[in-house]
Amino acid sequence: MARRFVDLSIAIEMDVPSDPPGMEPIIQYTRHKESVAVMAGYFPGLTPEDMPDGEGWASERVTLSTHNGTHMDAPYHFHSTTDHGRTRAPSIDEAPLDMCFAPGVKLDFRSKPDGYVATAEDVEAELKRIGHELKAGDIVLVNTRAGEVFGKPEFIHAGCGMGREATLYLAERGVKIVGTDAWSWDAPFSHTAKRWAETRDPRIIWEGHKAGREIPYWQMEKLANLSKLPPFGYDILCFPVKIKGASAGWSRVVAMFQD
Amino acid sequence: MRLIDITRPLDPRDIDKLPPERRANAATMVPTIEYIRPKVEGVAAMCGHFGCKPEDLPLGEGWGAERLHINTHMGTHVDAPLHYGSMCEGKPARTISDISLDELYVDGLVLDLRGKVKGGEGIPTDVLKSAIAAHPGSISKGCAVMLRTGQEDHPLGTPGFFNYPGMTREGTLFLASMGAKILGTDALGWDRPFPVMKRVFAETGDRSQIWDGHFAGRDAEVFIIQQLHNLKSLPTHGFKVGFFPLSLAQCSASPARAVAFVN
Repeated sequence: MARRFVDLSIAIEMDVPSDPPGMEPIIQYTRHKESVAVMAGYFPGLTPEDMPDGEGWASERVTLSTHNGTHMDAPYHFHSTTDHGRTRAPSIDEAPLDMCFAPGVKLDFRSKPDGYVATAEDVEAELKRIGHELKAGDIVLVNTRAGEVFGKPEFIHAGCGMGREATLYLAERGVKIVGTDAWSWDAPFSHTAKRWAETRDPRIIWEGHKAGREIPYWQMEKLANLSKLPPFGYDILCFPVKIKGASAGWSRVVAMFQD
Repeated sequence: MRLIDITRPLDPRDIDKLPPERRANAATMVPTIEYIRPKVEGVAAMCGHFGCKPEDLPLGEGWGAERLHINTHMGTHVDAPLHYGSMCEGKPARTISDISLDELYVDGLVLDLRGKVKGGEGIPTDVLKSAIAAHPGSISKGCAVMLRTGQEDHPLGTPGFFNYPGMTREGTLFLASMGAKILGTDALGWDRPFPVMKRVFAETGDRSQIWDGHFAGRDAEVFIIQQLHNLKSLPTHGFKVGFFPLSLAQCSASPARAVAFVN
């Protein structure tokens, strides 16, 4: 059986806008010629002539938010407790690996306008359209309009969001992991801030995330290439980097097809 | 199928386990994490984004988040050929974001070298050869060979952690010549410990003693994985292993969540 992978992760890089200003990743590159001096600290007397082609090692120092790049949020990101306040919310290093390798299902919400808050009915209608009966443990990926404008300044304002009811619809049916190609699982903050200014209804603030207060679930953001996936028929692998006590961990998310 | 985690976590508290003489180099080994907690810093952060007040947030809580300062070679991580030099096998060296996913999900094989290798010394090629000869599995092209060196008995915080057995140029090229593409170790580093290489260089002036295990990867393209964890939980062979690193643009390495898939 032939195995085929599709990369569902964005690259972590400095020159492509992927996060709001001030929240971008920072990578300091040390290249081979520069590092000879660093290596001479370990090997006193070392000169460039001692090194193959005068080169030392390449290395980098990276400053990243746990929410930069393609990452998985842990329930702790949403609130300090989950399961209706009954339990402490787990952090990313406590994510059970078994749930991170499971069948994927894609919801095509690309036609929904930016800032729209998807409902439970929207999820149900799309599942019916693609002809998939949701199973416990399915990894549900939401393809929004944001995916096609990744890398442009409008990205962080693009795509629909998933509301509280839509999120709970999935969680109540045993879905543990969800994902989106937008910057956030919720509608873009700029759209919600406008609605907040108009309505002053606190229930709309980060409602999809905060649904994790009721039922714990794990959530991936800034996925890539979702438009290349069929609605189902593949596995998702999404093991997060193990960061002690953190609210999220970066993940190289991939789809695996057995053709 | 069972999934077995073979990853060493990124834990800022490791700083307390470093011996004093290593603290100056902590930035290459231990992450610094600024924690933004839901009940404290997260409240202000969230109110800033939404223009709301703390009392508008459910139960007065914001979000949890973190900012990390890491080196790309921290925790369980995958080295790209770029780490060893700008050229590899006569071609521009591949960076971590250039490696295809197929090359990182492969057959796994554990070579148990416990009791046959010594801390602070190079792993003799003869030891590798006899371990492979006695092994019930075999090295397939493109597979991952993971060395169980005995370092599991010397965790961070014990003196033996930094005095690990290391791979030389000869041993590295030998494993590559057998067809292995991913070379892993449960030790802190692939090479012999730096103080050992430093002493030999100071005594002999022999430049070929410097970082020779890694530099061998300029001549035979391999991906080196360091700081594997929990190899004792793996079978000797007959399983898949996945080392999907972060797609850090043009970087020489990346942390990965390394997972074995055992039937």
